[in-house]
Amino acid sequence: MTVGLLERKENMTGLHEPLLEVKNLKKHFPIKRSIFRGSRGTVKAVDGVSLAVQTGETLGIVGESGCGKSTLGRNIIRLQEPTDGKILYKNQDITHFNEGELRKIRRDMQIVFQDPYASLNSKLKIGEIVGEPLRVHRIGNKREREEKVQYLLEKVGLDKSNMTRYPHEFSGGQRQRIGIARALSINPKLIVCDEPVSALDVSVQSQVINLFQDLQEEFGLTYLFISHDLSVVRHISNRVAVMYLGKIVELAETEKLYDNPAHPYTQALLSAIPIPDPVEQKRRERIILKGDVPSPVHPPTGCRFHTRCPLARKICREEEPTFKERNDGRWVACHLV
Amino acid sequence: MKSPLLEVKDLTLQFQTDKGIIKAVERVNFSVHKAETVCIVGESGSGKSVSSLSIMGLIPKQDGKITEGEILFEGEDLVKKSNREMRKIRGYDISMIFQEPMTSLNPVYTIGNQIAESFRYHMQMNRKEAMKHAIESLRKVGIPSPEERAYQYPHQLSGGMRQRVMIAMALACKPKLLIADEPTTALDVTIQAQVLEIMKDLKQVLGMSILLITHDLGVVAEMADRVVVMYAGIVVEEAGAEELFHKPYHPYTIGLLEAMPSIRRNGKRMKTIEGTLPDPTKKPTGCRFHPRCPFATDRCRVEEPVLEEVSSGRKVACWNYNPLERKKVVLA
Repeated sequence: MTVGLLERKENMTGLHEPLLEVKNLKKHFPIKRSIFRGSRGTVKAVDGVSLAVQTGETLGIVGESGCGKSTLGRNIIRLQEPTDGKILYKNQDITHFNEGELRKIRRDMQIVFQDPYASLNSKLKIGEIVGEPLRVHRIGNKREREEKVQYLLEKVGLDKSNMTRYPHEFSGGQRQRIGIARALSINPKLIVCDEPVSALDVSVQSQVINLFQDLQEEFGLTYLFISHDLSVVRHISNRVAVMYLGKIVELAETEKLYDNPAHPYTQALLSAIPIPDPVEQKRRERIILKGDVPSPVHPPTGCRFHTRCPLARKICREEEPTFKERNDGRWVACHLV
Repeated sequence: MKSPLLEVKDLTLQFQTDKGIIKAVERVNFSVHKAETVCIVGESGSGKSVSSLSIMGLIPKQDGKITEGEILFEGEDLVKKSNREMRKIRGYDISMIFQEPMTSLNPVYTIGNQIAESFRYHMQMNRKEAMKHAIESLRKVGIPSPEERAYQYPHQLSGGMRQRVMIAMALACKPKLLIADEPTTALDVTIQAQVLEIMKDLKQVLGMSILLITHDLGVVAEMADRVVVMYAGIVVEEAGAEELFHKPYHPYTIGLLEAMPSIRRNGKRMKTIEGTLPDPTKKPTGCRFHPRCPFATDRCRVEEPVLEEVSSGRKVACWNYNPLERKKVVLA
C-alpha cells in the first residue's frame, strides 16, 4: 500500500515516470457478415481508455463480461493491434512496434491466463513449458536454463522433480503455478494477470493469491490484475479501475473505491456482491440494477451507463461525461459526482 | 417436526471409470422441509452436483449406480421408481435448473414452445392454452414484453434472460421442490443479484422448497435457511445458515470461510487451506480432510468420523470438534 502511495507522490512532482501509460486506447473489432461482404459494424470493445501503472504496484481492472477488460490487457502487451491511442512502456511508444521490436519488449512483459487447462501445451513436459521463454529469447545454455526452471518451480511451490511430468498430471491450482513460473522465467517487470484465479476452487484460490503477492514482494513485480471478482481484486490491488462497456468509469485507490464508491455503477456492482454473512446480508440495502449490459456494437448515447443508472437525468442521455480527477484524487466519469 | 419433503438417507453413488470404481458420494444424509431453502456447498469433486442429479434420476444407468440408500420424496423412494414414473415427477413435483442456460435450452425451438411443453405434458393443455400459460410464466420471471419474447429462440436472449427462461420453465407446473445447481455461476454479479431476487420472490409466492447447490458462500448467505457442507464425497457439517457462518464447527468449514476473499476484508495475507483437494481415486484414510487439517490427530488418520448430531439441528463429522470449540473460545 505505502509503496504505491509513495511512488504516486513522486510521480506528481515529476521525479518518477510510470512504468506503463495508456492514452485513449481503442480497440474495435469489425463484425464480418461473410468473407465476401464487408463489415456490418464494429464492436467497440475498448473505447478510449487512459491509465498509468506505477512500478511495483498492482492495478486492478474490474468489470462484467464484455466490458473490455481482457481486450485491454491483451492490447497492452500487444497480443492485439490497437485501433487507436497510445501505449507507452518506460516512456517508449510501443503502439506500433513490429514483431522484432516486440520480441525485445516482451522480455519485460508477460501474461498469466485464466484457463490453466488451455494455456499449457499438453504435449510438452513441465520443464519444457517453463523453460520455453528462455529458449525463445536465447537466454543461457541448456544447463543454466534447467537450473533456472528448477529454481522457478520451487519458487512457485512445486517440487523440481515435476519437470519431467506432463500438464495432465496436475490439478488446476498446480497448473496455474506452472503458468506463473513460465511468466516469471525471463524476469519480467510487468505481468498482466487475466482472471488468473477465476477457474480455481476457493481453498486453492487463496493459495495462488498469496503466491502472487509473495512474488511481487520478492521480485518487485508490477501487476495489471484483471478480474470480474471484486473481492479478489480488493485483496491484491493498490488501485482499482472499474470498466463498463469499453470505458473506465472510476479509478481510485482500493480503500477509497470500496469504502466509498463514487460512480453509480461502482456502487451497484459492490452492492450486488453477496456478503458471506447471512445477518449482514439481510440488513444491508442493495441496489439491484435493471436490465442487461447494452451491446457494445451500439453503445447508448451520452453516458453509457444511463440506461441502467438509477440516478440518470437528461444530461446523462445527451452528453458523454468526461473522465476527470476529483479533488480527493480519484478519477470518475459521471455528470452527477 | 413434520416429516421432510425430501429426505436423502445414506446415499452412496458409484461410478465405473477406467481407473476403477469411484465412490462419488458416500453415505450422504440430508433433508429439505417444506418452504425451506437448503444449500449444499462444496468445491470441485465434493459430490454436490451428482447428489442433486441422483435425486432427479438423471445419472446415466450405464455409468453410475446408487449402491446404497434411499431418496424419499413425500415418503416415496425415488430410487425404486421406473423411468416412466420419474418422468411424471420431473418438471411437475421436482424441477431443476442448471448452471449453463446456453446448453440447457434447445436451440431449434422458440422459448415459448419449450415452456409450453411442460404444460402440455403434465397438465394436458392444448397448444394455444399452453402458450398462453408460457407467456404468463415469462412475465412472472420479469422478462419484458413476454408476448414477443415467447416467439424468439434462445440465441436471441442474453445469459441472464436465458437463466430466467430456465426458471420460468422449471416453475411452470408449480413444483414442490426446485433443485438449482450453480444457477448463477455463469452470470455477472449484477445479473446474479436479479436472478437470486426472482428466485426468492417466487419461492414466497409458490411456497416451494429450494435445494441450491453452489460453491459461492456469498450466495449461500443470501439464500439459505440451512446449509450442508460437503467435502470429497461426504457431508462434513450441517447447520442453520446463521450458526454456520458465525460459529462453524468443522475445520474445513472454518478454513473455507477464512480463505474466502471478501469485499469487506482487506488483510494483507489471505488465510488458506494448505494442500489440494484429494484425487477421487485415492481418498485419504480416516477422515478425508486430515491431510489438510491443522488439528489432525492420530485418530483422524486412521478412523473415519461419522456425521453426528451435536446439538439441536447441528451435525458435524469431526473427532475434534469439541476441543476446536474450546480453542476458539480461548483465542477469542
